[in-house]
Amino acid sequence: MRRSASLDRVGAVVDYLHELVLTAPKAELTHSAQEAPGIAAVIKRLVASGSETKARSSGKSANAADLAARIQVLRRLAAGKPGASPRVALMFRASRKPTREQIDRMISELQRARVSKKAKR
Amino acid sequence: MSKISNLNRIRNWVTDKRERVSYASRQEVEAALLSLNQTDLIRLKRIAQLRAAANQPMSWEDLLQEGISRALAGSRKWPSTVPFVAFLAQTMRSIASEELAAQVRRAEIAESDLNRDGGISIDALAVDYASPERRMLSRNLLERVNELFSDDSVALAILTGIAQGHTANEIQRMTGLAKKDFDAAQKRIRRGLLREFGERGQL
Repeated sequence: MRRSASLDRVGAVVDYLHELVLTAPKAELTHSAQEAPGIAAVIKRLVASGSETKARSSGKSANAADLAARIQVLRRLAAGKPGASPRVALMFRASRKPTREQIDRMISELQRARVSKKAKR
Repeated sequence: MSKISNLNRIRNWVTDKRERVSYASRQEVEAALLSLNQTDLIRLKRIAQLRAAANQPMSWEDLLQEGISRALAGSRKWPSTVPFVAFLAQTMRSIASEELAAQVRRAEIAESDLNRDGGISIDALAVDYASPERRMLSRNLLERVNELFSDDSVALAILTGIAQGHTANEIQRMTGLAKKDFDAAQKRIRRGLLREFGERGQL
């Protein structure tokens, strides 16, 4: 597609003026200082709302972190029980992404096995 | 030294440079935003106003907010080697340019451009994609800039040279302007532009 010549021209002029403003000395901008508080307020609001969004999304991360912690527990339990490790490995290999329920079921199974082993002693 | 080893040296240098660039974290972006001084805030507003003038219907407020939001969200990463204000200004430039591209994508193709099979002929694709409104807007903006410096022939010569795609050196050579006069005219252009935005809030 061909760009419009007038768009090319205006693009070049705007880029040039952009550079001029970007490099303007402080003295040429300070006479408009009364406009600054309004922009600062917008920035504060955006930073604050961004932090809220981050807090909301970290709720999701906490969920993922909880699941990761359960998988760790499962692996630790499996490591202490002969024959469990391959089963756990198989569980992850077979379904690739076991659900929280599957993980919890396996954890309680391994914990029961450990308790019964202790009880036998 | 052979050409190949020179090329390898350049390639390694570019790779090193790329690897050395680090990006600011969200906390650093927040800190940089909250520590912007009055001058930086006005500078950013003026750049947003300038970009918006060339990119209507996007307002300068929308442009500035979108730039800040993208920096905060990390969809535009702030390289540690670039000053923060320059980074935000460049982000606004990209947004304005994306917006223009989106307008082009949205542009309707006239029924008469379709060929018998319902496809688009090469001739139709080659036509100027800018809408009449956008062409008018561009013309108006250039006219406004020209009007602003109508009594300054040197400033006008510089702006015309820039619009024709020439560099500063080329304009100086073509117009026979000494560097000192060129710099002085640039200063007048900048002051005129800033005064216009300060007084009218637009171009």
